[in-house]
Amino acid sequence: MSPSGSSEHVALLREAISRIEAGGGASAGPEDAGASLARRRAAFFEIAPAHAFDNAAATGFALALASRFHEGEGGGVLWIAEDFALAEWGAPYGPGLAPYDLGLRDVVLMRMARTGDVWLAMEEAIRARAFGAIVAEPASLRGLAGEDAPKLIRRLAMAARTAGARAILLRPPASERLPFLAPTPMRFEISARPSPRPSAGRKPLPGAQTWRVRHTGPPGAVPGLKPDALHDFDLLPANREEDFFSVALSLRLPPHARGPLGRVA
Amino acid sequence: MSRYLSVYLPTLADPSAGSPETRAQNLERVADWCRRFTPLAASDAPDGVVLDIAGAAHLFGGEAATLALVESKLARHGARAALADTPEAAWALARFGPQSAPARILPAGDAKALARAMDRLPVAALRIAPDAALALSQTGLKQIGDIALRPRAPITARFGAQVFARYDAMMGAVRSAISPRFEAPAYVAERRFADSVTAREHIDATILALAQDLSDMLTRHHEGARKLAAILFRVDGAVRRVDCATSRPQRDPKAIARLFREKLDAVQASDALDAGYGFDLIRLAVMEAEGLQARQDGLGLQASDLADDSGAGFARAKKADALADFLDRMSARFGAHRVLRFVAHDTHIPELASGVQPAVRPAPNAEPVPVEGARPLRLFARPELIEAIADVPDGPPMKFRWRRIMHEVAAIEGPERIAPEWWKQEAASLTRDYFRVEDTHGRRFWLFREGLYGREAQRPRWYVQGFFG
Repeated sequence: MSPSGSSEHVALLREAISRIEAGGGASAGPEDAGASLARRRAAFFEIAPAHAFDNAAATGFALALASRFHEGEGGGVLWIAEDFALAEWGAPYGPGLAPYDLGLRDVVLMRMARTGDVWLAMEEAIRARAFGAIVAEPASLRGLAGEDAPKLIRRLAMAARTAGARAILLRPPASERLPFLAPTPMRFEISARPSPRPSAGRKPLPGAQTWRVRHTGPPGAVPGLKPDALHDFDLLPANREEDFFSVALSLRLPPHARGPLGRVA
Repeated sequence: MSRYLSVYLPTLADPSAGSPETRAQNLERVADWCRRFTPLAASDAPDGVVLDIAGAAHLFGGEAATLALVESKLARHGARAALADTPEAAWALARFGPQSAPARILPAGDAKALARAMDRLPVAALRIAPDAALALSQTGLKQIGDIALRPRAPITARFGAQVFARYDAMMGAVRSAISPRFEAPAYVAERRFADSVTAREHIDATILALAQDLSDMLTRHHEGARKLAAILFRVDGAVRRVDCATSRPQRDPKAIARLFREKLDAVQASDALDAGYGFDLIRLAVMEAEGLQARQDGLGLQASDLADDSGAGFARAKKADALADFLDRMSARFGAHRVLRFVAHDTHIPELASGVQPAVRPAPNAEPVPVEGARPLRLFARPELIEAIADVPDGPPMKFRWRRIMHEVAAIEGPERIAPEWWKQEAASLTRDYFRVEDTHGRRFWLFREGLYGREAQRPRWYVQGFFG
């Protein structure tokens, strides 16, 4: 093979690899049914808060996603968090899982002392194929010894695809200046979205969970989402047909809503 | 019937051997070492250990050979051992018995021989207070035989009830027992090595072989292990113990061996294993067993799943197995305190209403206490103090500063008043008024004001305790 032929071959291989990493098969076209199924069954999500104070919103979005994966095939949700992240932003609170349609027994929490342990536990959990979804929350994006974070996350994403696992990396707020690392189209930046406000009168009640999502993946990777544009989504939207989870990710909605129960004094 | 081997170690009680704490630690180490003869080994402070060797003596060539072996191995501590049917009699013989070792072994179940041997011993062998022993001697009651046949009431009235309580225990009239360092295992398997083993792969292979032995025992009894311990005896007397727990009854030898491999990896990483000159005995014990029919509850698997002919039921059962295996392995590697599940507690105090427990422990049946208000997704274990501005001292906040940033309140719900648990004596906290707050950026916080204005506090303090997703 001529040198030019060799470079063409390498280019073809690179293209095939990028398609595989993007969640589709080697022969998948843009957004065919096979690619959609592959993305649903095996996906690595990278979710980042737009600002440090949006960390809770990003957590809620990640958990809403995990809850829908759990609803689909069961297995519960594994939440792997580093001690420092929990101390800095609070630990998951059992009664607070109910709006996400998760019971206390549906969630297993792993509290890790080091970032490296979070990655190790995440990899083990992906391979175990025991959970409906795995949420990893490291306090930093340091890699493991001898393996930098981009390489590590690339490997974890590949492992998730191979094992058919759904893994969600919840990026630490302090990493907001670092680029997204996951080699999949499922990369989202989340910020809190204000509830609708009346123009005048007394202060309203806070609304239900709602997010402003920026998709950073390639165009067309997620139906209905334009890259780098801001999209608003609710946990329980008024129009269920247009929900991000049901349309873009083919995940069904939780069966009930939780309405406001109190009043301003 | 129990057979008690009491070992007297005079050098361990010598004040020149170190501080009381050091001597106590040395005694515990010796008791641990003695567990190579039987799992039922207890320290007998301040100067001895006691073992129940019933059913174990034949492994070392019989009772006389076991006694000789223990004495020779502990010779540097000046060991003197005795064997009897009661721990008190063995204790007395070890310290006050004849020089000849065979004479310090009393035949099993022979009450007359026991009485004859004890009668010749001094009253101090009753292990009563030195003052009482001296007083008895001064009245001419120098040997145990001197008091055995005398009326009890006068002696009890003058020297206390302890004298005959000890005597009855010594003669087996009152049942007494030892308190082993560790609880007796349900099943035990062990391997002894002529040449000590140091290599990790040999240790792993031995544990796998022992797990196979245990599996056979458990299968016969329709049980599975919930708690296991690997005990490694080093040739120099040090003992290493590694514990593992499982989230469901387990008797698959490969799964058990895998658990210990994970655990030993973690132990080895911290240099706590330290094989030194090697291990000459490795023991694997089931500390707690359960019927294997009992399956882990929660997270999916129900009995009906196994009876379900459809693929879904089988897949669910398979997933539950994978989950239990994962929880066991991770608990072994990182520690059970790091792999947790949520549990509800019967209280309205938010930070106490939900806790966590090791996932390998059986899940409690308690359900969360129903609450009226919404609860946050993330909660601080210790609420963080904030500066809040309100229109009136007992009104809702208009603005608050948290982590140096001012947040303007755009939407609010509350207050939800949570009173302290006045029916508990230790409850000294103040009433809290909780508010669900949304700032102008849409971020949702859970704030509370501590103390009722004018009644409990003149300047109530504000805290942020959690966040909504």
